[in-house]
Amino acid sequence: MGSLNDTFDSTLRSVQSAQTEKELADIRVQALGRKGTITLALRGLKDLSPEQRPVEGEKINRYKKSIETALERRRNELEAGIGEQKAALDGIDISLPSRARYKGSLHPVTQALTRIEDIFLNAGYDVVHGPEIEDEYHNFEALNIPAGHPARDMHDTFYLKDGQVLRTHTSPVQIRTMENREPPIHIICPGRVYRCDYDRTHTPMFHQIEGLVVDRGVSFAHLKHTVIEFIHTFFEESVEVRFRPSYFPFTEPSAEVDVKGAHGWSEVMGCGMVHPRVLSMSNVDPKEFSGFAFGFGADRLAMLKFGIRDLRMMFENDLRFLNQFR
Amino acid sequence: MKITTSWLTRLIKHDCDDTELVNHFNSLGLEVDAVYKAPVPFSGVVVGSIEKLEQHPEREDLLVCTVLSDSKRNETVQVVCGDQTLKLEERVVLAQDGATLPDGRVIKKTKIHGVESNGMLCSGRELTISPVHETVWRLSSDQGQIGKCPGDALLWNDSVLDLDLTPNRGDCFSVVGLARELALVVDTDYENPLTSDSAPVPQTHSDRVSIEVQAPEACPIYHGIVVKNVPQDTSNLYRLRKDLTCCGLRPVNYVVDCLNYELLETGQPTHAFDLEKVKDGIGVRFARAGEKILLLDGTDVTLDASTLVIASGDKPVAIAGVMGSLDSAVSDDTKDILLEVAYFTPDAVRGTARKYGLQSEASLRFERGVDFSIQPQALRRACRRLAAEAPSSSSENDNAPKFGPVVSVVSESHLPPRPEILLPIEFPQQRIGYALDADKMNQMFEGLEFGFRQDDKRWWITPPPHRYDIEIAEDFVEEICRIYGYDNIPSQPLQATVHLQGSKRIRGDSRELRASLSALGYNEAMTYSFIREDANEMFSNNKKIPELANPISLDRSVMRCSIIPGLLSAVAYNTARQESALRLFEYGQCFDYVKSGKLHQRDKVAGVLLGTRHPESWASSRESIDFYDVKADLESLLRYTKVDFDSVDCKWLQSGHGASVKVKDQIVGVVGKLKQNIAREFEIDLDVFAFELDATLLLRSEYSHFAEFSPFPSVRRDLAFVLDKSVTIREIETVVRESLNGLLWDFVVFDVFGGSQFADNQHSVGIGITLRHQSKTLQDEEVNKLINEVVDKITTQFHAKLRT
Repeated sequence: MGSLNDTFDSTLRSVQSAQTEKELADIRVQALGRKGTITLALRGLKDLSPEQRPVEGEKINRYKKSIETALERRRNELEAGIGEQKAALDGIDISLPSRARYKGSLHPVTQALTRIEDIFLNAGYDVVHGPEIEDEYHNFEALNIPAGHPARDMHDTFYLKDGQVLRTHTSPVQIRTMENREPPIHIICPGRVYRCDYDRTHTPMFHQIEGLVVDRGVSFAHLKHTVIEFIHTFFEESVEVRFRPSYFPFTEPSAEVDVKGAHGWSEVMGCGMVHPRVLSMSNVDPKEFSGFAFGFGADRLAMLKFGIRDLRMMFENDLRFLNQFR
Repeated sequence: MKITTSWLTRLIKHDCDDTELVNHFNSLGLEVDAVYKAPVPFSGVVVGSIEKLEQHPEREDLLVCTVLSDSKRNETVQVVCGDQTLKLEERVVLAQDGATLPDGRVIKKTKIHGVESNGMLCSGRELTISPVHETVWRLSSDQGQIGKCPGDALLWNDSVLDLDLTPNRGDCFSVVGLARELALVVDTDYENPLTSDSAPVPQTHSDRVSIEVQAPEACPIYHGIVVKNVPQDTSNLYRLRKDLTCCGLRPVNYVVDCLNYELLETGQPTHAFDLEKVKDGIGVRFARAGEKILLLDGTDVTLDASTLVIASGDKPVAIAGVMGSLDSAVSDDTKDILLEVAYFTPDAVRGTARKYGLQSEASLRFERGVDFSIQPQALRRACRRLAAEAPSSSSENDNAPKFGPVVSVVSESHLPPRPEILLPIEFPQQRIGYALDADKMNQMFEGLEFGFRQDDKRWWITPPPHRYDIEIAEDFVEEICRIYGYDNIPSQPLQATVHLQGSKRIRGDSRELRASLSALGYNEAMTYSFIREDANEMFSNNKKIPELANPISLDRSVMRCSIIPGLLSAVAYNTARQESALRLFEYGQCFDYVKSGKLHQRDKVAGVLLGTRHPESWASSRESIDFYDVKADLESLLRYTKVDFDSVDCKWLQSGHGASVKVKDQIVGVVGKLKQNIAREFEIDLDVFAFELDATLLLRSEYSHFAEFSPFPSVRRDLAFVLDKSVTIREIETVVRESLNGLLWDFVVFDVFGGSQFADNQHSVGIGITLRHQSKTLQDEEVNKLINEVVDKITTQFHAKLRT
């Protein structure tokens, strides 16, 4: 009976390779016709012993069924092939443009802000917002910049006629948070800030993000780690970072942070340990708590990240610019 | 503050290249803005070599020289020269045709007694490198290169560091201060000219000017000395003037230049009065309001009573620590002066310069704080400088300056206090997060010239008189960190307690609004928060507006009450650049006074649209957008809540084409077609649609609640009516809803059209009504009955006709 097995295999192969209905009909006759191999084998069962008969019978019937299924499947394939060929004749032009819709975009500064917020949100910081028109107390005094302090000169402040100011940084939001919340505090404060200045790298309005951490035992080494890790995360690479001593009335020690790029070092951030006077003015006991703060221009980071050279383009809203940031 | 590296290395003997210096200063917190080669004060001047010397054919006292000016190309220049001592092959400095000399003179080709002279050989005085004018300056054979600028071979082999000093570091506005800082990190002592020179000034006459200080709290120290017979000849000042010029100070005259040099070196400002003008004595007092002074820079100033002045007789002769009067200033031929070396407190000077729009080297230092221990030494140094720079011929004879006795008024009790500050021994480690060796810290304190004592638990530290920024323990932490090097302090991960919290805003925060609008095809814009004043009038009914006192320009003079004006400017910017279809949105704070007089600062989100509904394509018509496009956008934007639109009167929307936007019965904003005259104000000729919503009212803080829906099939019936155009869809829907009594599942308007087959004021409205029962399958008879009722109500109530 080994030969029946071989016949069965070769029948299945010829079904697979059949190209026409006619070939399939011929195969059917050869295998299942009156004198077909399977039919003859079934007929020969009666010559077998009663023990062998059911075993062989079941096998031959299985062959028969397989061949029938294969014939049916191949016929469907051949038919479908003919339909496909017909469809291909009246197919559509895929390259014809779509029923187009306008494609919107998100401003690069929004994209940078979102990315920055996410980095800190994922680490457990809160995002806090505050008013853009501030009183002098929150913008200056509470940050250890009393009236007449030379540091006020560094700020190029816009004043309102009623004596309020356009915030020159988002630090007032930190003050408002400390006034209303007990440590531990982990926040970042994004938003628009204003300074009277206008050239390629300065616009009278820009975006700042400031961070504040107040807790027991917070140190300069923690600040360094946070800042470096943030910069590496934001730029997605281990850019070289350097810290330089600097001066801000609201931090002590204070530092400026530079990042090394293709054209040398560029300044990206100011930071420092929160000045104890700032803590105590906002009802945080500097004997118990210490903290660090950092602040940077989101527009500036966006420029570095997206390769934008002129800050002023950010606020011209030229469609040819905006459409690049989909 | 600008400084030359040669000056610095005169005080600190340390071999450092420029890059190293820049790194040191940066790491100390003294930011170097720029470093550049010392500028040479002439141009077109090169090193030359004498090739040939001939007697001038007409003049015995002149030579005709052939000077090699380019050795490679063997180019020569013929020059007529009066220096008879010239020899062949000597190296000289040739000013070529077109050259500019330090005094501004331009050298031109000329003929001297019939012989062509195509340049000039320069003397030391002409080059400002020596007083000698009689002979031509010679360079040795190893100095400079023929044809090249001789700057490096003369005084200008030097570089300039431009430092951007922070306001707390007044002590670094001098070469001494910078040398002291540098010594902290290069392990070399620096030489302080103030302490190394302690010999008194030899007194050679006894004239004095009386000094009365009426405001010792503002002027605790005032020394005056009469100096007679001061030199006027500046020919010996060439080195000093080179340094002054490099540091950004203009040479003036003998006295001023000597005093400015000392100012830069020691940081102590001094002032010289013409003795004749202050003979009546000096008074230091606050000005009488309205008093006038004409300052030496030509500005006429009316003083107020908070201004400290130096007066003589009844007349102010200087604004203390800022600037002297023109009348009492030292001129080129002043012989006798009163030299002032004073200490004015920062409080007395701070703000004065700015108040009167003045800025001087003196005010810069006094307002930041000058070392109040150096005035006697600084006076000695200044006197010695006045004597030392005189031309050598005069220093031994009667032409040398003569010094009188020093008149001093000192009020020690008014000097800035320097109390001991306690620094617990463990404090630096706590704040830095890194342990430093106590011996190392002691060394730093010594280098910083801090006075200190200690036991095993703490230091008591007295900051020196030149530091005004050391008040609390944290200040020492900064000093320690910056000397150790910020970059050398290891960083350490922050540890904090984990708190779990969910977001309070479920939907409608700025992030979602921005994402939705950009998905709807809007470009996000960012416009300035300040707008033109008349724009606020167009968009707000409020007379009171937040107005800037110092706007950057007139069209950015008030804070915006609305985002729309900014977006319209952005539209105009783009339409001027051939864009005809725009959808812009912006999210940001707006400012408005509310009735109580309080200023409201609220986030708004606004959009403007114009142009075609779809980008141009084969598949869409070039139809312009209309109200219903914007309405759809807002429905998509606020899909998480129910929105209603009602017609509204809005200052900036065309009447009949504007709607209020209501969320849960609260008006959150408006939408509609912009008034044409407003569009024109912004130079836009197209129809503009706009919306503006108060973003704070769009937040939703609760999740949706699941409602069981009917499992039974729905039934739809379509009806078309001819009715008056004045009947609103809302009225029809209300009738349908009310008469179907809870069975209405969906209501659509599938068709609205007018035409000649209808009366002018009528049109056809097709509505699709879908009904579904909560607990059973609706039967046809039941539905027909309900629909007939609807038809009846609509036809009677609105005088409509059912179309069949």
